[in-house]
Amino acid sequence: MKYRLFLTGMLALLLAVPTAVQALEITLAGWSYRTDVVEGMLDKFQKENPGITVKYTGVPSSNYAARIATTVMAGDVPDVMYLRGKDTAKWYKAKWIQPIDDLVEADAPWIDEMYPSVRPYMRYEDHWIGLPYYTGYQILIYNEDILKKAGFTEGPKTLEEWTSQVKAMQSKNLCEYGFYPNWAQGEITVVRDFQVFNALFGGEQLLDKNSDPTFGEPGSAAHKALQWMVDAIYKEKVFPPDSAAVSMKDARNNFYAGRVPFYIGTFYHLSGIRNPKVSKITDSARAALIPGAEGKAKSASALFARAYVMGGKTTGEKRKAAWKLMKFLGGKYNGEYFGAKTWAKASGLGYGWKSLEQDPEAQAAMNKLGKVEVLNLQKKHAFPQNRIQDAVWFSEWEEFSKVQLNKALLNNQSVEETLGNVAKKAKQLKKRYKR
Amino acid sequence: MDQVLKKPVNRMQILSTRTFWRLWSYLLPLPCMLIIILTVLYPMGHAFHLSLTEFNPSYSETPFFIGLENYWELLSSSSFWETLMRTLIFTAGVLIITLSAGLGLAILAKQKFIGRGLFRTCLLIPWAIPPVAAGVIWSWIFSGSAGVLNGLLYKLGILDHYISWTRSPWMAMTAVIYARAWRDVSLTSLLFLSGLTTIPDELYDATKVDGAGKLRSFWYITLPLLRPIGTVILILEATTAIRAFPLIYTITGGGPGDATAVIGWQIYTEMFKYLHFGRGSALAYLLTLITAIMAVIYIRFGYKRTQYL
Repeated sequence: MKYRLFLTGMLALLLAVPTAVQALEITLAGWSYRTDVVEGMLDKFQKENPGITVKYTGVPSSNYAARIATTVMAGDVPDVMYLRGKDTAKWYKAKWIQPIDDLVEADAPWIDEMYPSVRPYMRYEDHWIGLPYYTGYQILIYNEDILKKAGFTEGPKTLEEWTSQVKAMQSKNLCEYGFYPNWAQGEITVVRDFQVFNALFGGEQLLDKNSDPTFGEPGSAAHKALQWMVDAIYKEKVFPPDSAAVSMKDARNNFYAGRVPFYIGTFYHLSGIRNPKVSKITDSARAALIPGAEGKAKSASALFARAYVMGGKTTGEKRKAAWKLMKFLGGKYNGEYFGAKTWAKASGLGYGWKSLEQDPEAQAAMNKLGKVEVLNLQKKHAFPQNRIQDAVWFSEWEEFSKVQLNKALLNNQSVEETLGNVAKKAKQLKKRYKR
Repeated sequence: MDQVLKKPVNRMQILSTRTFWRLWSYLLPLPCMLIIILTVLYPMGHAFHLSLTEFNPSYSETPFFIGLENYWELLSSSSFWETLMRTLIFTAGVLIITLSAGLGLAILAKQKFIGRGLFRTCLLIPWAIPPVAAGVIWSWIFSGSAGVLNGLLYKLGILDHYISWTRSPWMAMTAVIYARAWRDVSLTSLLFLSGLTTIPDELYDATKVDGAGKLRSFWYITLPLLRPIGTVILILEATTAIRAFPLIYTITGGGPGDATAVIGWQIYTEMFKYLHFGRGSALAYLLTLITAIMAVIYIRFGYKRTQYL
C-alpha cells in the first residue's frame, strides 16, 4: 500500500513539473520602497495570471542605478524596471530599455488620461517608453505645535517670512534650527532642492531645449537660489552648519522627533510622519506650499516622475507578459488604475492619472495624510524637469553638481565659482558625449 | 632481495618514470591554475583591454580602441592628482593609527593578566566584521540625529546638542580613517603579537643585566626585531588601505564635497554611476601600479635591511 502511495506521489510530482516549467517567469527590478506593498500587488497579479510568475528584486534606492548597471552588464536585463528621469537617455541609448509604442497604441486607449505634465517623463525621442509609477513635487511640511508655541497660526508664505518665523522660534528656544536639509553627498536631494529654489527665484529647467545650461550667467535665478541656500546656513543661521552632511535619515529623524519645525519633502513623506512607530509628531504635521521668493507669495516647485519601463531584451511572450505587468502596476487594469490607486492608499504616492482625482477611496486615503488641496495647488506651481532626461550625460553631470553644490554649502567655494564650474561641466559633457 | 638489487637498471624506464612524475607534478596544480586564470588573470586582462578603449554603453555598443588616451586624460587632469593626494592622506592616517595602536595592543596582549585569552579573542572581533557592515555601524555612530557618539557625549555633558561627525571635510576624513583603522587594528595587533612571541626572553634578561630600562629594551630589542613582521604589516595595510571603498561608500559617499573621494570611490563612480568602463578600468590600473610601487618601496627599504639585524 505504502509502495503504491509512493508511486502515485511520484507520478503526481512528475506531472506537476511540466506545469511549473510552462509558467512564464518575468523579472521586476525596483528600488526597495515599501516592498510589502509591491509584493502584495505581485501576489494579486500572479493569482489573476496563473501562467506568469514574477521574480521581484528590490535594491536600496541610493544604489539602484549602479546595481542595474552591473546586472545588465552581466547580461541579465530585468523585464520590467523602475526608472528615474535622469537615467532615461542613458538607459535608452544603451538599449537597456525599449520603446513600447506598439503596445500603447494597441492596448492603452486610456493613455490620454495621463496628466500632460507627466507625459514627457514617459516618452523619449518621440517614443513611449513607460507608464507612471509615481509623480511628486516638493512641498513644505511644518510642525504646527512648534509654530503655535511661537505664536504663528500658519506656515510661511515667503522665504523672508520663513526666516523670521524660525528666528522667532530660535529666540524662544523652541528649536535650534528651522530645517535640516538632507544635502549630504550621497543623497539625491541637494540637486532636487536646488531645482526647487531655482524655480522659486524665477528660474526654469536647469537645461534648455538644446541641453545647454540655463544658469551660467551671474545674477541668474540659480545664483540667487544658491546664494539664498548658503545665506540660510551662514548668514541667517536658520539651517544648520552641517547641512552639507545631513543625510535623509538624519533630516527625517530630526523632524519626526519634533526637534525642528520645518521639513521639505514630498506629500508621501506624510505617511511616515503619521506613523507612530517612527514619529512623535503624528498629529501636528501640516502640509503647506513652498514659500515664495523675493517677498512675493508665489510658490513654485519642481515636478518629478518615476516610470515602469520594459527591459531592452524582453521579446515574444515575455514581452506580452511584461506589458501586462506594466499595465497592472502603472496603467489601467480591469477598469481601474490599480497600481497607482494602491500606492495612493498605502503611502499617499502621487499619481499620473487625472481620473484618480475623482476616486473617493484614493482621495480619502490621501486626505488622511494631509490636505490634498495643498498638494493639488502645489502641483499647479510645479515646473516639470523633464529636460534632464534628454541629456544622456545628466546623471554624470548631477554627480559633479552634487560635489560642487556641497562645496558651496560648506562655504568652501563661492556661488559664482560653483555655478560657473557646473555650467562648464555641462558643456564639456555635452561635447564629450557627442564624440 | 639481492636479486632485486642486482637486477639491471633500465635507464629508459627510469627516464619515463621521471617524466611521468614531472608531468604529474605539473598536472596536479592545473585545476587551481585554471581557476586562477579564469577568475583572476582573465578579468585582469579584460580590464586592461577595457582601459585602452572608450566604452560607455550609453553611446557605444562595443568598446573602441583609443590606446593610452584614458591614461593620458587621467594623468593630465588636476582632479586625479587631488584624488590621489586624498587617497595618500587617508592611507597615511590609517597606517599611523593601525601600526601604533596595533603594536600597543600587541604588547598589552603579551602581558600576563587574568582574562588575557578573552582579551586576545576580543581583539579579533572588528576584523571579523565585513567592511560594509562595519561601515553601517560607524555611519550610525557618526549620525548627526541619533548617533551613539552624540548620545554618549551629550549624556556626559561634553556636547550640548547633537552634531554630525562628518560635517566638514577634515572631520569626514578623520571619521573614515578612524573607522578603517578600528577594523584593521585587530589584525595588525595579532600579527605584531606573533612577532613579539618570537623574541627570546633571554634578550630582555640580558638587557636587564646591562641595566637598560623598559624603554631602552623596547627601542633596542623589540622594535628592531619586529621589523620583518612590521614590514609585512606595512605592505599589507598600505596596499589594502589605498584601495579603500566600502567604508567610504557607507559612511560619507565621498563627501562632503569631494573630501573623502579616494581612488576606490572614483573607480566606482566612473564605472557604475557614469558607465565609463574604459576610464574606470584605466583608473583601476593606475591604482594597481601605485600599489605595486608602494610595495616595492617598502620591501626595498624595510624588508631587506632587516636581513642583517
